[in-house]
Amino acid sequence: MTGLDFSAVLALWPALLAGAGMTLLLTGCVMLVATPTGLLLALGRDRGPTLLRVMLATLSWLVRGLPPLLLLLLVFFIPSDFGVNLPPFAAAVSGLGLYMAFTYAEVFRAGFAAVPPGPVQAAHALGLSPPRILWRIVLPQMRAAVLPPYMSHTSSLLKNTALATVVAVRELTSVGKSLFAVTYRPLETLFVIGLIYAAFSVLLFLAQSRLERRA
Amino acid sequence: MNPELIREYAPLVLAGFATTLGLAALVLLLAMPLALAVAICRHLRLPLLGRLCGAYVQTFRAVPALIVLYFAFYGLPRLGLSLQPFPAAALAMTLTSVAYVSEDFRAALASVPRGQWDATHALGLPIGHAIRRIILPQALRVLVPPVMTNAIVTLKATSVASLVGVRELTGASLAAMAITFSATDFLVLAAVLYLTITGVLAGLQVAAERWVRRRYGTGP
Repeated sequence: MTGLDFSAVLALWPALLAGAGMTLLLTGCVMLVATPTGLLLALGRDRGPTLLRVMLATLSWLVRGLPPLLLLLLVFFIPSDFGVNLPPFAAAVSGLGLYMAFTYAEVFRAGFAAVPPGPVQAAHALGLSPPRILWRIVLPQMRAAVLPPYMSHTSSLLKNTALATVVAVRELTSVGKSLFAVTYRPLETLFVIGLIYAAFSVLLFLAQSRLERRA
Repeated sequence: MNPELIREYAPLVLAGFATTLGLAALVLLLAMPLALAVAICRHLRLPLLGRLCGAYVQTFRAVPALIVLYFAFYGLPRLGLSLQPFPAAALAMTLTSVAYVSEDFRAALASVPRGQWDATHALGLPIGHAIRRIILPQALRVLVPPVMTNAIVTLKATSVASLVGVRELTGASLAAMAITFSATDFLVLAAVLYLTITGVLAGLQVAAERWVRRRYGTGP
């Protein structure tokens, strides 16, 4: 083996930058879709009519029992069997979004359980509307319980965006694979890519510490 | 759905299913003792070794499992170690799994009061004996739920091995798909098989948690 040489990889920095941007964009879009959906799913499972609860519980078991990779493939390829071709980015957001929505829902359900019933009953007695109770009483109180698991699942989401490479999204991992195919420098490329992912993970961790201090 | 097509390619997909089970079993079998060792090194704050284990865990938890897999398959040959797809996947997934599972072990070790370690020391128990007879039985209650969850995560993660050419369940389904141009049949078949095994594991998790509660009590 010849010594490590990063010059070939670093010379292609615009591609790395675009890939890193795509990874962040994908993570952000999935969070934006999955967080409100997860909250609705949690409400449906805890407060909804029995039929809805059973349906959502079954769906949750289905979605969380499958590998995220297979979920992406299902969302991407099955519509194409019926003549609907989803663009790669939309397929990645739907596949990962589906998985994360049900994952976040579990976090929110645990959060609901952590809120003491007294203030909620008091708000009911004062005649506050249920959405207002949720927004003003329940959500602020579950913040401390929800934040750590929410952020740790978000960190797995960031790493799972690497799977979007199978539906041809040009995120960091997929860009990396093309880069080492071109430069014949797999070690150096993977090292740089790994460093970028690690930097993103550290940023998430710092964000979590800040948010937790404020909570 | 085309039953004839599925019947024709069932052997291929079922062989993939067997590979998935084998890969997951191998990874878990290798990862459990290693994770325990890493957790003990960190828990006892062994000089140097404890730090090294800490750095290893942080690194492998910060990087996607797919990058580790690419490293084992595409990167290691540059260091003079060329691995076939299956061993490369087993190696990469074991390294990743150890990093995650060792955190479960560490939390479980931390849940055993410090005084118990001191007592085994005072009684002059050899360290292996102390861990096996005194510490682990007490840690088991905290240990079983997250370790079983991580076992299910590991099984699901084996699907990623298809990206370096391992013909496990996902890889075999993709192969059948590429030959027949029928995505729905084989992806749904793979989904059903994955759900069967994750369902069985989830059932095992409930049984294991019940067994630990009965054997070691619900704790303080």
